[in-house]
Formats: sequence, structure tokens, C-alpha cells
Amino acid sequence: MKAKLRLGILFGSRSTEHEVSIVSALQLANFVNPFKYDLTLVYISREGAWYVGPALWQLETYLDFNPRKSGLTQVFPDMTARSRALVSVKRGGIFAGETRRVEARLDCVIPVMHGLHGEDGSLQGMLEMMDMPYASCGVAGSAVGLDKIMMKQAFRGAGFPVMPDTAVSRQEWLHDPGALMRHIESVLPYPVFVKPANLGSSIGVSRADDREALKQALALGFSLDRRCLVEQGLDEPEEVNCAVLGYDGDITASVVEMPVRQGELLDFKTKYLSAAQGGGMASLSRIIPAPISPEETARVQQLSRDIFWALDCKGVVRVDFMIDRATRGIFITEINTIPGSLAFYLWEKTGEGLRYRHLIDRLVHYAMKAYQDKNMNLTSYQSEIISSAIKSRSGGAKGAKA
Amino acid sequence: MNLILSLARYILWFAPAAAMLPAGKQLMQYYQLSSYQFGGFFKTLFRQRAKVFWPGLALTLCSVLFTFLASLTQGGPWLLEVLVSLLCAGLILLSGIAIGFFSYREKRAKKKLVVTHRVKRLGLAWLAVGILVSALLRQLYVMGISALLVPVLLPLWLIIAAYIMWPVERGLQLLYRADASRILEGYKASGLIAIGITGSYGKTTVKNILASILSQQYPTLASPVSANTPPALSRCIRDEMGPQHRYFIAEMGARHPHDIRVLSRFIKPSVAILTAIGPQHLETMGSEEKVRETKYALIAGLPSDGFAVFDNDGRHVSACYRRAEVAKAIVGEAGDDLWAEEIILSPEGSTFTLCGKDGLRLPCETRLPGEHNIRNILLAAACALHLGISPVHVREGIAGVKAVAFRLQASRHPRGYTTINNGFNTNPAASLKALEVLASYPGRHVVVTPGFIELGRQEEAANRQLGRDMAAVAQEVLLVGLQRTRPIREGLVEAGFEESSIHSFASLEEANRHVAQTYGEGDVVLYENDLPDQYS
Repeated sequence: MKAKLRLGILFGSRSTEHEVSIVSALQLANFVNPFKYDLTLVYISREGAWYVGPALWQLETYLDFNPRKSGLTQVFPDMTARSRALVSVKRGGIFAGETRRVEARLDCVIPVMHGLHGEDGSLQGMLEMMDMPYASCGVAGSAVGLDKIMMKQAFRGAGFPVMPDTAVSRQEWLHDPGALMRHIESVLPYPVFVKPANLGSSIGVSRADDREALKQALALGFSLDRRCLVEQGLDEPEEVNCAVLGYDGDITASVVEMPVRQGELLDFKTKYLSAAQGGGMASLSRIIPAPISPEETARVQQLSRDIFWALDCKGVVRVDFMIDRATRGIFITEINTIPGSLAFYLWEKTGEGLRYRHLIDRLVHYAMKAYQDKNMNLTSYQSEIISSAIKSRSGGAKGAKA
Repeated sequence: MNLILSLARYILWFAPAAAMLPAGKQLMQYYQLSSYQFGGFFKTLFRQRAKVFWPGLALTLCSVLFTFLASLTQGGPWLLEVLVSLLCAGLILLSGIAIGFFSYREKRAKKKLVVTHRVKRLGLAWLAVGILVSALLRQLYVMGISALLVPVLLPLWLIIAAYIMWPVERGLQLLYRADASRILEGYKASGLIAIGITGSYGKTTVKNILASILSQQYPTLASPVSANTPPALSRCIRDEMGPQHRYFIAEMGARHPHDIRVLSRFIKPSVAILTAIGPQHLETMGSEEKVRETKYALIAGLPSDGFAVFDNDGRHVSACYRRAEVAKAIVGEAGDDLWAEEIILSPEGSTFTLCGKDGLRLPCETRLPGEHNIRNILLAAACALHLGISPVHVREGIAGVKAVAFRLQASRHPRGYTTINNGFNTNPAASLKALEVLASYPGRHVVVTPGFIELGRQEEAANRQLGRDMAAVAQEVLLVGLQRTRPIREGLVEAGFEESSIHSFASLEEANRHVAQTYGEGDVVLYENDLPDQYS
């Protein structure tokens, strides 16, 4: 019998969307096929400490998280390339000294984190260092996907339709708020949206219809981030989302959904607090498929696939769009490289329907495929640099003697 | 054949010794609750003499009965005697378990007996003593003498076992402490800073606040709840301390004179906080002056480049501040190193401005209720600022602290009344603060209390004072315990409290039933001090 694949789910981390990540991860964990995978939950606390253990399966553990609770073991990821071990350190009897134990060894991980320190390429960078296969976008794709300013620049550079915007920094704001606002007004008409560049989700995003509102929006934005994106807004656009699954040449777009809006925009509260009560993002009210024309649907799906390709994504992502009600123009809002609930609710309604457990199989497949591709690249060269440097040093010494 | 028969007889002979262990579970719990200190243990044994002796007596009855039954078969067919002896031995063991079950009700224990390695070792020693005594009694050739004498004197054998184990345990403790000290010093060499907190009350809260603030800068290890003795701190260091930790906060408790000196020599902190000095554990400490000298050992043990923070209580702690010869800070009153202004209190927390002698003005918010917690925050903040934490991080840390369970934690009962829990190792000054918090709530105020314990000669006066203090705040008082609470009742009546509003109950359960049946929307019930098992 083939050994089961040792799959890790990484979640939590130092992010404003810590709780959402927990809900998404536990939901995912319940769909993992136990006959196929040996599953390890790996929780990263708000303090950045890593834990494994049976207590991670209970939501109650995360309410006033206490690392001393039984059923939790702190582990340290071994950074040695290909070790892929999570190591705990324990002290036995007086004469036993410190013992290090491998609590888990993983063949592949699915990161289920939103926002900083998880979706932004930092975790992906660490996984690359560990030489660990993982089912999310790579370092560059994740980084560009999270930074709203760079994302817009990349999209515009690649010729995708996006709304006009301008990037502003806290330093400009502190130096001369008036000048900054005049600059914004000179390049963008109201209404505008102010978005902190690096937060993910909708935290700190606010709409401004006039100078006073802009001032407040910028003050809020800069309290959360050093850089903000100011984007021209559409008046009550239709919003649609499309998920994309795949890797390299094998890319599939999902059915298109239309989230049902509550209030001005899907802010953090409506998006996640209501989501937390049920099953993550999946429980939000939405219309699937979105009530837009077949041509528009096809265009949204094509754009989504193209973006996936352009950012060299991997695993599952979700691309959010706005459609101008008047002109029917389609604009890209953003890409989520690790969407809430991994957008499984869209895959269940795509084509013949992809069950969540099969979605997991696909994610693992792409992770392993990408890892094999990376292994085909040369990473070390036998070169003569050191030996020739030694030679030239001794030669140089001789030369000095002469 | 003969061999099997004598083996069965031996088993029957030693069965009472083995049955003693499960039957005497309650005694083990008392010993554990007295922190394995003989003084406290003996007092508990005396106070609870009924509970201490009846399991032994009951077991004696059972043992004698079953041994007698088995003896009836002597001289009969040998196989019958073997079977009956074994059966009776089993029944003696079973009755031991049953007696243990009835004398020590796990569910009713507030602090359950934790079967630690130490308890296991003691159990083995207890068994060994029992078996040894039974073996000696066998030399007397009196039938059934072990069934009579071993169980009836069950507490005596435990005490002997405890005395035998004492040097062993002491040695193990010292070994573990030495190991923990080695680990701690190793991390200190690479920059870990150890901070010691002591005081009659407020230690745990200050520790939590400080841990919250320091974690904003570097990973911080704080000793777990109530782990404030050398063995508990050894354990914390050995089990939890790792290379990631940059701060270690040790809570140091003192039940006896010298306790703090021992802790200070073990942890060797370079920063110390002295929260308060009041009449606590006077039964073991003697006087408030002794308490002060004990606590001052922490300051005296600081290195010359150390730092100490004191609460300006205008009494003992301020006196310690004046005496201290290291870099120091005092907090609390305007003009000190740190104080609070613009304080707005509410049951859900407070806002205030943290003010410093150097001109610092930092608006802060906390979820901890009560003015005394602002004093606690000042102590932690002074320490953090000295360690170079920025004011912004100090504020974040303060905002992040949650109220400690059992420490003035408020919760709403489904029937509509609010309960505030202060059921933990309380002392007169801390109760006064709890009453202050109670007064800050609107509505009818009810206090449920059994009064103070372990205050030695001051106990009666302190309880009387408690009565007077409660009279100023509460509309109804529920006393738990009939005899013990007499001074509280007198205090209440002295202060003009309606005697009809005082209700006495024999147990906490009865008082709880009364609370659940009587109170509703708008009532606030303060639970003030919960007696440990060895007193109830």
C-alpha cells in the first residue's frame, strides 16, 4: 500500500484576518480525506509561535488562546532544506537533559491565511527556503497580489482593465495633507476609495464623496498602513467574483458569483463577522451564477484565467470585478491569492461540480507538480570560484613576497 | 498446597494496608492543599478530625469483619480457605475504594487531588509503611490484629510516610531547582532579563499586565497562575523557557519568612516590583513588619545595576522605596515617577492618562475594572518604560490585558443578575477593592462571603471590619458558615446594617441556591473569598 501523503494545513499567523483564517482552516480540515492524507493542523499564534496538537481541532481553543492548554505542543519549523520537520523541545528528568522530537514531518502544506504574514509571500518565501511543496501562489505572485498598489500597476502594465488610481504615502500625508488631497482631486473625480496597500480584506477601506470624507478616509488609511491606494470609484457597480484553479498551463475558471451587498461596500464586518457565524465565506449571501449576460460571464472568466497566468499563480485564487451599470465596462478590483474558504462553494457549482475533497486533491497535485518543476531547475553549480580564490590568495602572498 | 494457603493468608493479612490508600484519598488531598507543609497539614487534620478519622474507622470495621469471616474457614478444607481468604482480601480492597469514594467526592472538591509523581511516591511510601507495620504485627501472633490496627491508625502511617519522604522530596526539589537555575542563567547570558514581582496582593494582575506590555516588544515568559514557589517556578523554567524568550516574569509568593529570599537567590532577578504589603498569611508570618522584611528581601537581592518599582501606599511599600539602594521608581501619587490622571471608571474598564515626572502624558484604556487596577498598571508601565518599551507599545499592551478569571470577573446570570467573582486567596485590602468595584455598579448590591482565614490573631478583627465595610456598600449580605462568621455579623450590626438583611448559610451550595432563587434583573452579587477545601 502506498504511504499516505503527510499534509499540513497552515493557518492563523500575525494578521488582522487571524480569526477568518482559523474558521477557513478548520472547515478545510473537515473535508480532508483521512484515507488519503495524514493531516496535521499547524497553527501560528498571534505572537508568531507555531503549535500542533489535537486541541487545534476545537474552535474553543482559539477563544482566549492559552498555549498552556493540554493538547497543544509548540513546534519550531526546521529550516534545513527538505527536512520539513516540525520539532518540539522537551525537558525530561534532571539527567535526561533537553530532548528534541519531530512532532510532524510534512510532504506538502496548504496555507490558509489571509493578509499579512501568510498571503503576502513571506510565508511562501519561508516554504521555498524549507523546500516544502505548498498549494498557494509563489513568492512573487503572492506579494504582488497582496500589495494593492503593485497589483494595480502590474495589471495596468499587462493591459488588464482597471479603474484609474494614484498611490499615496504616509510621509506625503504628514508633510502636507492639503497638497496631497489637491493632488488626488486633480487626477481623480469623486467618488474615490481609499485602500491601505497591504492589509488584504476590506479593513480600512473607505469611500469618499468629498474633501471632508477624503480627509477622514486618508487618516484612517494611514493609521493602518504606510502606503495607500486611492482609486476612482464607480457608482453602485455590479460586483462579481470568479475563482481560478490550476497551475502553469492547466487553468480552470469557476462559475461567476455575485455577492449580495449589504450597505455601501462589503466591509470587514459584513464580509467576515457574518461569515464567522456560519461556515466562513461560504455562508455569505450570494447569487450563483451571477445574473449577467453569457458574454460578460465568458469575458470575466477569460480575464480571470489571464490574470492567473500573468501572476504565475498556483492553487486556487479568486478575482473580484466591478461592472459599470451604465457602460457595462468590466474592471478588475483585486485578486485574492488565498480566498476565504478557498472558494470551494464556487467549485461545487462549476461544471459537473467539484467536491471540496476533490478540490483538495487538485491543490495537492498542483503543489507537487510545481515542486517537481522547480527541481528540474539547476540550483547549484560546481564552480572553481573558491578554489581559484584560494589559489590567487596564495599566489598574491607570494607575489607580495617577491 | 501449603504454599498457596500461606500466600492467601499473607494476602489477607496485608489487604488492609493496601486498602488504606484508596480509603485515605481525602488525607492526600489535604496534604497537597497544605502545599506539603506539616504545620498546615496538622492543623487541617485537627480541624477536620471527623473527616480524617471516619474513613480509617470504617475501613477497620470492614477489615475486621472480612478477616473474621475468612478465619471461620480455618481448619476446614484448604481450598475453601484459600478462596474465601482471597475473596475477603478483595472485599477489603473494594471497601477501601468505596470509603475513598464517599469520603473524598471528586466532584465537590474545588481543587482536585492531582496525582503527581510526588503523590505517587508518597502513596508507595504509605503502602510500604502499612505493609511493614502489618509484617511486624504478624510477629504478635494475634489473629486479625493487622486488620484492626493498620486501618484505624491510617493518618499516623501517612504522617510517618510523609516524614520518610520529606528528605527525598527536598533533595529532588533542590536538584530540579539547580537544573532550572542553570537553564535560566544560560539564557540570561544571552540577554534574557528576569523580573521578580512580589507583594501581598496584585502580583498576578501586575504580572499579566507586564507580560502583555513586554510581549509587544519581545517574546515574554510569565510564570503560570499561582506558580509562585520554587518548585513551581523550577517547573515553569524547565518546561517552558526557550531561546525565544527575552523576558521572564516570576511571581514570588511568601507564606513564610525567608520564602522571598530563597526565591530571589534562585531567580536572581535584575528588576523587581513590590506591589503591596498587607496582613496576609499572618498565621504563618507573624506580623505585618515580618511580611515587610520578607518582601524586602527581593529588593535587597537585586544586583547593584538593578531596578525596582514600588507602589506609593504611604506605608510599608513607600518605606521600602526609601530604603532601596538601587535605581528605583515609585508610582501612584501625583509627582511620583508615574501616576494617573483624568481617571474615568466603569464596570467594563477604565480610561485614564498615564503621567510621568519626565512630562509623559499617555491616554490609556483598560478592560480591567477598579481604581486599584490602575495602580497595578502604573507598576507594570514603570517597569516596561525602564526596560525601553516605547509609550505606544505600553499603551497597546495595557489595552490588550484581559481580566483574570476569579479576579473581579463580572458575568451575567441568565436570570438577569450580575455576579462579580473575587473568590481567591483574598485579604482585607483586596476585599475593600472588590467592594469598591461593587459600589461602581448600579442596582441592588449583594455580598456572599465566608470571611477571612489564615490571618492568625487578626482574623477576628479583620472579619469584624469586613462587616463594617460591607455595611457601607451592600444592601444584603449572605454569610457562609454559621459559627465562623459571627464577627462579620457583629461588624455589620455595629455599622447599623439591618439584621433582617443578613442571611446565614451552612454551605456555599445553600447560599448559591438562595442567590439563584432570590435575585434577578438589576442585582449585583459579589462573591468575596471562597474557602479552600480544607476549611469547608
